[in-house]
Formats: sequence, C-alpha cells, structure tokens
Amino acid sequence: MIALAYYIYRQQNVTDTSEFVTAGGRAQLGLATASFAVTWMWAGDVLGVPEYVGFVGVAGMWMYAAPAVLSGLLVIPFALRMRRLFPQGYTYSEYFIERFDRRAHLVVILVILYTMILGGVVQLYVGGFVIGGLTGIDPNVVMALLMTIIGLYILVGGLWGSLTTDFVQFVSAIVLVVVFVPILLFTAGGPAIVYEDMVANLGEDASVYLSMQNFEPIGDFFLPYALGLGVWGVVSLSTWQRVFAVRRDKTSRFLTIGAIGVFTIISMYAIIGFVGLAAFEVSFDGEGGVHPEDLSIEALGLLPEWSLIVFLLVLLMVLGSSTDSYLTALASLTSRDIYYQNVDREASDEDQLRVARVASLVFAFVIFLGTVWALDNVGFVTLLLVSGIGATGLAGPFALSLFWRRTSTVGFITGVVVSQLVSGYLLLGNASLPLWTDFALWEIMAIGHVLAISLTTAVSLVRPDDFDFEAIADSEKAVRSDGGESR
Amino acid sequence: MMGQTGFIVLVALIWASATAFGGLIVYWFLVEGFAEEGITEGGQFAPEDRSYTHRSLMIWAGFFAIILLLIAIW
Repeated sequence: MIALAYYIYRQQNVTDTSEFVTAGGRAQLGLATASFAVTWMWAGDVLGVPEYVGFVGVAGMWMYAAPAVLSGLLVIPFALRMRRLFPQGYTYSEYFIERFDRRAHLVVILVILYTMILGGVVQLYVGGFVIGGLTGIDPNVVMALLMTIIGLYILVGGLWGSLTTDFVQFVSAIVLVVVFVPILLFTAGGPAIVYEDMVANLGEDASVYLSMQNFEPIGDFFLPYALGLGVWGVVSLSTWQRVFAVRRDKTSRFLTIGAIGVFTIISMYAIIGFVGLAAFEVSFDGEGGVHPEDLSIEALGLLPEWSLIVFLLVLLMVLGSSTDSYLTALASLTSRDIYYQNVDREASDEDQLRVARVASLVFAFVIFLGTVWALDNVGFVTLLLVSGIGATGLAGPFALSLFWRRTSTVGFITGVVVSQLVSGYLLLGNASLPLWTDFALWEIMAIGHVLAISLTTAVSLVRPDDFDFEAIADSEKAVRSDGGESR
Repeated sequence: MMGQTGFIVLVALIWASATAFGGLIVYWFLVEGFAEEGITEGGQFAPEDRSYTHRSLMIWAGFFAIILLLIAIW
C-alpha cells in the first residue's frame, strides 16, 4: 500500500494541497465510485451486519443496509449544488465561511472533528476485535500496526493515495464477499442446509427471524441508524472529499452506483450472520449460546484455516480503506480549516501540505488511543449508532443554508450548537442531573434534528440574512474556496 | 416466514448483485483510468447535465421499488 501510494504520488504529482486534499477534482468515475463505496461499506460491517442478523434475523439486513445507502441519495442535491457553487472547493466546511462567517465555520469544524474521530475509532475497533479475536494476537498490537501502516501511506499520497489504495481495497472487499462468504456458506453445508439448521436452532422464533417484515426491533436498530448514520453522508468530510474529487459532470452517478453497490456488499455480510444462526444457538445473556455481538467471530471461525488466513489479509485491506478515509479527512480539516483559516492566513501551500501530513500521523495516534479505550468500555453496535449523532445537529441547518437565502449566521449557529448540546446531554447524562429524561437513542436523534431545524428556521426568521448565492457561483474567490492559491 | 427456496433465491440474488457491482466498477476503472487526460483541474468539467441527474434518480426509484417488493413478499 505504501509503495502504491508512492507510485501515485509520482504519477499524479501530489505536490500541492488541492491534489493532496481533493485529487484535483478530476478523478474518473470508476476510481471515485470504488473509493466512495469502500469508504461507506466499512470494515465495521463485518461485525455489525451479523450482529444485526443475530438480534433481528433476515430483516436485520435491510435495517442495517438501507440507512447506509440512503445517505448516498440524500447527498445528491447537496453535492450538485455545492459543485455548482464551488467547482473546485477544497473542503466543504470552507463553504460555511463563504455562506456565513468564521464563527459558523468553527462550529462546523468541531462537529466534523469529533464525528470523523469517532468514525476512525469504529473502523479500528473492528480490526482489534475481529483480527485479535480470530488470531489470538493482542488487539492493541493489531491496532497499533494498522495505524502505523495507514498513517504512513496517507503521509505520502494524501487523497490520491487514499483513492488508489481504496481501489485495491475495493477489489479486496468484493473478493471477500463474492468468494469467502460463499466458502463459509458451503463450509456450513450450503444455503439449503443453513436454512434447515437455522429453522431447527431458532425453534419457535424461526418465523420471526426469517421474516423481512420483522418490524418490532425497528426502534432499536433501524431508526437510530437512519436518523444518525443515514444522514451522515451529508456531514462526513470523507464523503465530501470524494464528491469534490470526482469529475463534476458525473457527480450523481458515482453517488448512485456507489451507494446501491454498498447495499449489495452489506447484504453479503448478512450471510455470515445466517451461518452463525445455523451453527449456534443465540443467547442474549451469553450463557448456553452465542451472544449476537460474537456471532460474526464465531461464524468466521468455521472457515477452513487456509481461507481464514486469506480472509484476514483481505479484511486488513478493507480495514485500511475505511480508516485511511477518516485520516485524510482529518488531515484536510486540520490543514485547511484549522491551520489556514484560523492560525496562519499567510501560510504557503507547502506549509499547509506539511501540516496535513503531520496531522495524519497525530490523528492516527488519537484514533488508536480512542479505540483502546472503546474496546474495553463500549459495545460495537452502540459505538456505531452513537457515532452518527453529529449528523443530527448539522444536516438540517446545512440544508437550509444551501437552499434558503434567509438562513442567517446566528440562526445556523444557534440551531447546531443547541441541538448538539441537548443531544449530548440526553445521551451522556443520567437521572441525577436536572431536567434529564430517559429517551431511546432514536428519540434523542430525532430531538436533535427537530431542534436544529426549528431553531435555525425560527432565529433566521427573526434575524434573517439575504444571501446572494449567484455571487458565490460567479466569484473567482469562491472558485478558490477562500484561500486556495491561484493557479 | 421465508421458505427454503426463498432463502436460496435471496442468497443467490445478493451474490449476483454484489458480483455485478464489482464487475462494473472494475470495468469502469480499466476503461477510464485515474483521471481524464489533459485535464489539470476539476473546474474544467461542465456542471452535471439535468437529464443525467434524472437518470440517476430513476435508478434510485428502481432500487427502492425492489427493496420494498422483497420486504412485501418475504
């Protein structure tokens, strides 16, 4: 991967910030779609989808995959409008400086920052849990090695490195699901036997587990995913990097094919869960059976030894693609949004590039520390679902700002900040705190959305802006996203 | 409750879809490569044509129709 990143560094001349951060906005459809898909399909799905199947049954497949895919659809109107306003923007968060001011920009940076770090932690968690669990190697050693390798190749190639290694990792992910998942299925006796064993194992629960219409767990599994990660694509910096990387006349197509393709890949991971249900009895207290959280590890343990080793190698590739996306996003955020916009407005392109590279190493370490903590303290699905909470405060106000000229700075900031504070309070608080109320996770996320949108709208009606979008679209300054060097 | 045949069809369907998706992306990459020759920055590309966007949205509509159909019959 490091050698490949170096080859791309030389071939695509990654010597300025635009090439490092957005691949110059000229990546072709196949490369960009592969990168988008592999970023969205996540290594986390290897754990998450079988766990959903363990809790919900076959309906877990669409409850997990549909919200992830929905993101691709929701991003389209945002992406088309942004690429008209900023044909060659560097980071979408810089849009907020053009649209509002530095205070709004700072608020957006903070939300994206913790969202991206959480995203990186989710990916690395899988590395420690799955690879450590299947090989017996200390998860911390696995994670440290992973972050060192990924940090190094991002250091060299930036987004071009990420896009290119993403393509290799995309092919790896396809091989993983098209070859190794069927090997697992046939090791367990083939689909007909797996079905019969599932029915026998599930007993009277079989009718519920084997129905796509098992809607009862929707509040615990589908709604929090849909309300958080389902709109995460709109605020995910790694998504926006790819939106600005692809040639802009193909924007909607790469989002459409990439997202729908992700659905098919995620669905294949569900087969690991089906094999788990066929081979083991599920036990929600972990006694006398396998807890859904461990269903993936236990089922993968059924693979023949040779294929398990190859599977782990391929999984390493997929893990790399997910994690490097967050690292490049964090590097771009630090270089452009924090360093250039708030620390040194005179910084040269070389300086910004240096900061981006240092940041990729620093955040690799931060993500590693965060994952070490999470592995001991948080269950995977909880971590996964909570990681979408940043989107609940930002998505609605962002939409208003992009399509409603009266959306004002004070309205935007009020909506985002109050929504995030209230959501955080409800999520992390407890009954000993004043006014705290116990809500389900999806309710907290819904409250976050409602607060963000209603406050932004109400405050903007009282103190409206009158923003001229065409001025951005026509201005040379906008093309440079407020600060990119003229070329 | 999904029957045995339904389960086998479902597994075959998602395997074929994942394979087709992977094949399409690899085909695009082999045909197009990394970046358009002679283009040095993204601003040189025209904004996306409206009819192209409509075709993408039609693909989405078809996709969700299939998902709803699968939920309805199984």
